Amino acid sequence: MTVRGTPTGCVLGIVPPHLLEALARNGTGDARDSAERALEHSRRLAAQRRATRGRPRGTYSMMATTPPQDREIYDAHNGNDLPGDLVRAEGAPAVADAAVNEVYDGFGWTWLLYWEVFGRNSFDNDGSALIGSVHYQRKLDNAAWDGTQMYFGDGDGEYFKRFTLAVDVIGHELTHGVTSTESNLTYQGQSGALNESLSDVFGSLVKQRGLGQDAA
Amino acid sequence: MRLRLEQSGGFAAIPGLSKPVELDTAGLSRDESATIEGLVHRTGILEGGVRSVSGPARGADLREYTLTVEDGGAVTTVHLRDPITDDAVAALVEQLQSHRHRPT
Repeated sequence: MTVRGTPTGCVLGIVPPHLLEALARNGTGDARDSAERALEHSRRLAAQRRATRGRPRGTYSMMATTPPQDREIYDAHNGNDLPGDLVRAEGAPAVADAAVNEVYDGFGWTWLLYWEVFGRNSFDNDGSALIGSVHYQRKLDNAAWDGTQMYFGDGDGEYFKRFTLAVDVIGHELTHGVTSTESNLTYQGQSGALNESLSDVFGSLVKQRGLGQDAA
Repeated sequence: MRLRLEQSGGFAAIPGLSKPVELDTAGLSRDESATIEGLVHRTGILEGGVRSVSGPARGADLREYTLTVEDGGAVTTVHLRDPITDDAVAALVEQLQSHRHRPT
């Protein structure tokens, strides 16, 4: 059995509470004092967890509750202005426009991968809103991260369909947001290639996890 | 007036679909020529009214463009990057892209 000392000198960790209670009750000298301090520390932590339950957290903890997602989907109406008009906010029901719902759901899949697997709250690990604009420009063959939000073109209809159809594209673009807030790999040359590669990998992970696929 | 638009980057950067566009308005119909020359003047590019971007992009998968306009012996070249926020510049880029010959 291993125990971990805290800066205050008390012992806690994987020592089960019933052992600590027995030590506090029946132990002698240092062992009893140490067990009492560990129990008191555990009680304080439990109280803190109760007080912060439901709040977004900046760092991952096995005991953290799931923070709320914050998705905002806009319609650029085939123009150049971003983000456009808000057409679906967090918690709002699906709308008639499939592109809007695809981005909303794709953001959800991506957000869940980062939270459930890596304990990361949104792209910046600070719970920031995921903002996406659909119908950007006319017949645009592109999807991109502009440094603060994502936008998606409708495709030319001949070679490309709308860029919201593939959830791995959405995961790819959102991962650029993760990269920009972590390593900020410069988007040119080799660092740009690494930046792209990370987005490709995590885009695929988003899709595979959302579809329940494993690596086997 | 002669114009050239080169394009690079983007999530779907396929060279065959993003070949440079070259136009000489002298070879266009009167309406097409008037449309393009009107857009060029709206941008103010010949008067230095369009600023080039510099340095790496803050975002990712953003398209970049090199736009060259030659008029009366003067040649002006600017480097642009999506999202283009100037409506006149965006309209000119879109108009030039509509003249791109796509593979069949």
